[in-house]
Amino acid sequence: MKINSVKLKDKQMKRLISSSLSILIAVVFIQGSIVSVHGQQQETTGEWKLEKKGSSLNFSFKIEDNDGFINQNTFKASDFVGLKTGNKITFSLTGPAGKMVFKGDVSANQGMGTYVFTADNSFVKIAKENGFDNIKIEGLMLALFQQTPKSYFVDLKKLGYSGIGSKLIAFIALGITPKYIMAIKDAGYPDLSAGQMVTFKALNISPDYVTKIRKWVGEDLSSSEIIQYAALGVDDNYAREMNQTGLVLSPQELLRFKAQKIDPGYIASMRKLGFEDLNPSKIAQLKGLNITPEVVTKIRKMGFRNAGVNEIVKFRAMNLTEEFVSEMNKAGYPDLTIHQLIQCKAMNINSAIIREAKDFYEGNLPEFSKLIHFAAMKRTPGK
Amino acid sequence: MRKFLTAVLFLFLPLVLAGQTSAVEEVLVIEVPNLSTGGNFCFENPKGSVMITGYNGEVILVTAKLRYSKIESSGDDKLRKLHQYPFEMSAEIRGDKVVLLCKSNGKTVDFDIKLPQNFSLSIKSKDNGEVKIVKVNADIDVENPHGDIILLGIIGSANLSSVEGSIYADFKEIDSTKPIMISTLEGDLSLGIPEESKLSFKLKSTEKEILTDLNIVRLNRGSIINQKEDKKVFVMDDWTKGTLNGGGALCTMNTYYGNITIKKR
Amino acid sequence: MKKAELLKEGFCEDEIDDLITLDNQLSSLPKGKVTPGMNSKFYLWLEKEKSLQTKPSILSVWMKWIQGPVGRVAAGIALFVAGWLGSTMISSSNDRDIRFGVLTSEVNELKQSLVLTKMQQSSSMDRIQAVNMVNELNDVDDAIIQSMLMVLISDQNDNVRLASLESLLHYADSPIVREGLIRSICLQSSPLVQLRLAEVMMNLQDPDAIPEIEKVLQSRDLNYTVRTKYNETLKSLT
Repeated sequence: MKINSVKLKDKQMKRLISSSLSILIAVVFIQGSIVSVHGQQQETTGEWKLEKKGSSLNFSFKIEDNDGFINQNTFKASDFVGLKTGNKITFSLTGPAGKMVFKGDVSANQGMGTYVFTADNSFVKIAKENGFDNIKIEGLMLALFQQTPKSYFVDLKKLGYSGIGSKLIAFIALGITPKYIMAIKDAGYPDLSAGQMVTFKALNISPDYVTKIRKWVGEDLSSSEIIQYAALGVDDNYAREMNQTGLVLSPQELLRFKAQKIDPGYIASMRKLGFEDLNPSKIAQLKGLNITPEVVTKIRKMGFRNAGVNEIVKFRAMNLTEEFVSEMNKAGYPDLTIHQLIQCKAMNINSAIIREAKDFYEGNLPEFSKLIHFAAMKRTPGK
Repeated sequence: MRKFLTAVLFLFLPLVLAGQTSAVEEVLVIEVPNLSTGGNFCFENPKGSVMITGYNGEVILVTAKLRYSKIESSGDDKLRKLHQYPFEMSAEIRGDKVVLLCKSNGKTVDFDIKLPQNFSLSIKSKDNGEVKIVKVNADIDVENPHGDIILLGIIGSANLSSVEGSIYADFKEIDSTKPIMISTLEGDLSLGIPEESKLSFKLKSTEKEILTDLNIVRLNRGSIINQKEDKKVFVMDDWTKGTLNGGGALCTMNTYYGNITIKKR
Repeated sequence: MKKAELLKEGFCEDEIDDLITLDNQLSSLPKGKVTPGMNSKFYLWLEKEKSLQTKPSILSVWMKWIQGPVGRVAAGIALFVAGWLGSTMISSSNDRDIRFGVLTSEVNELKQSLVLTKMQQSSSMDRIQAVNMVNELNDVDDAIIQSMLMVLISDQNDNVRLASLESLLHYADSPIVREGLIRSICLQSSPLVQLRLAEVMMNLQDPDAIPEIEKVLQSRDLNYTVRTKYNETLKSLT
């Protein structure tokens, strides 16, 4: 059975890709020094570039000896101290993770120069005490940009996310806060792994989304199913609409329906055609073969007034057409059932074969079973 | 008197509650008298956990329980809903192979299976549960991409893989003629073996540590040669290799984000 | 409907038609009638056939065993051992060297046969053992490489595919292996294998991998760590 492929213009998918890219750009070619906590000030230097767009200041940073840039474009002028237009100016950005001192030239629309980033030892120390050691310099810079507080590591540890390794950078970049984690736990997912938590946030799965979806689908929804739902754009509206059709859909069936773009309108149109026992599987089969009410009406007009879902599906699956039915009619078989038409199609029976069969039976049109045997004999080599 | 009545209440409370809950549980008994010395048991749970306990017997006892089931009111005080069967299970025996099948229509069903301890196992949980195997004396093959894998008191060998979960394997005795392979992406790996076991190790934890209290002798690592056009590049093998008691069957353990711990039993 | 399903499964239409023909022919055969004496006649015939059967001799049983896969391997190893012992007792040192080289080559061939046989076994542990054994072979011929690549693409067990990938890395200087690894990028569904392949592609630095990596990054449900790794690899290749 064919299932229509879903074109990936989903907002959620774009969000996932852009989140991942921004994390990648944030991480960039990892040659950066690992910050140690042996009482030394850890520093790194590099270059910066600025592009102003309205009130947003889009900075990109290049770490010395690395090839890539970290982009961070969520700054406002008030985030900095001493930022103004001019040549050879100095300004700074300070936060719990450390301090960045900028030197360079800033004009009305852009700027460039060099920076020195100095990590805050106590920030690094408290991270290590809570199981987050060997944080790369890019991670600390990101923590500065996000104004990540020292309590972040204490809270993450309490919530069971200590020692998540390089995923810490993703946690910081995506803004996975203790508040978000607790809300997801309360919504019914207390045991997400760090990877799943990152995926949840990257797909913008909010606690509200989780609560609403579970309301319509039921509590028997695993975290991987929620991720699939979010990736495919199944929202609570869709779940509610499907629920209100009266169909009882399993989580995977709901996903399949969304992938096949089955909406309440389609279900209602199929129901209006008077099919009995229209269950989710049959609806999926009908949609998979692109069977619309018009198609059903057309088939029925060919004389199959009582054709049920299974027969309509078979008719379509075997590519039977009005022309073929007409050909069989004209050739002397006007009242064939769909099953018999399928047999004819399978045996490649057409008007020419029927004429041959008629000749074989001395001018008499053979009964249907004999026609099938004739066609079978004709196909057998040597006979 | 009051204490006595309270005790009686607590004694009968579970029975009272059992009558009120609509926990759906099914039992399937598979008789395998010809296979009590050994066979092969295969099961893939589409959604839910799998718990397997080996014992000395001739029957495979399968208990399956719906994880989420609630009392549903019919809207009429005098009538309650009588649940129809929300999942199906069946078993097929082909030679020495027993295959358990479950059709759960998206519902989480947790399985508790007792089987003869010499049965080799091929078990998969596709979602929403852990796989736990206790006291089996045979080869064990488990895939549980979204959950943990736990093996306790095993005699034999194992091929275990997960993606999201951690894996804990405790061997009473190793089958020294067969390899062990344990892999995950997110979680920790923990192996417990008798101190006298003879194994050759191939270990990798990309982001964390490898820890042991056994006398595993680390070997020098080799190199892998990559050649492209006229350029030959020598790259160091990124696995940590070692031997225990002179070496033996190969034990490969690999995790990206977790620790690897190898301990004496 | 059945034919449509078979067609979708990839069966040839001619084959299906032939089967339908056969089925029709069989159903058109006249059905025989059961006569009263039929049962007793059948059992008489059966007893006669049984009495004509001779008991198999020990030699024939042994010959049958030795023609089997296990017997062949055992016979080969026994021949090798006998040849080795014989050669050490009676030949000169030069002859001994030549014979040793020949026997080593034969042992290698035996091992290759064993590896190929084990790769077909239903037990995943046997298949892991087989792919691990490849790195112990002195020479690895094309049949082994092709088998390993097939295992990488199509084995149902994640660990078996992972083990096959690890073994193939030792032959990554071969263009066939390199191309096979690149072709397998889009065919993997396990994050364990996908991640290792991403690491391998970063090491190999082969630009031919770029289109395959771009394709796999389009996957809706690609694991986060795998996506990050492939993005890094792509960046390093472009």
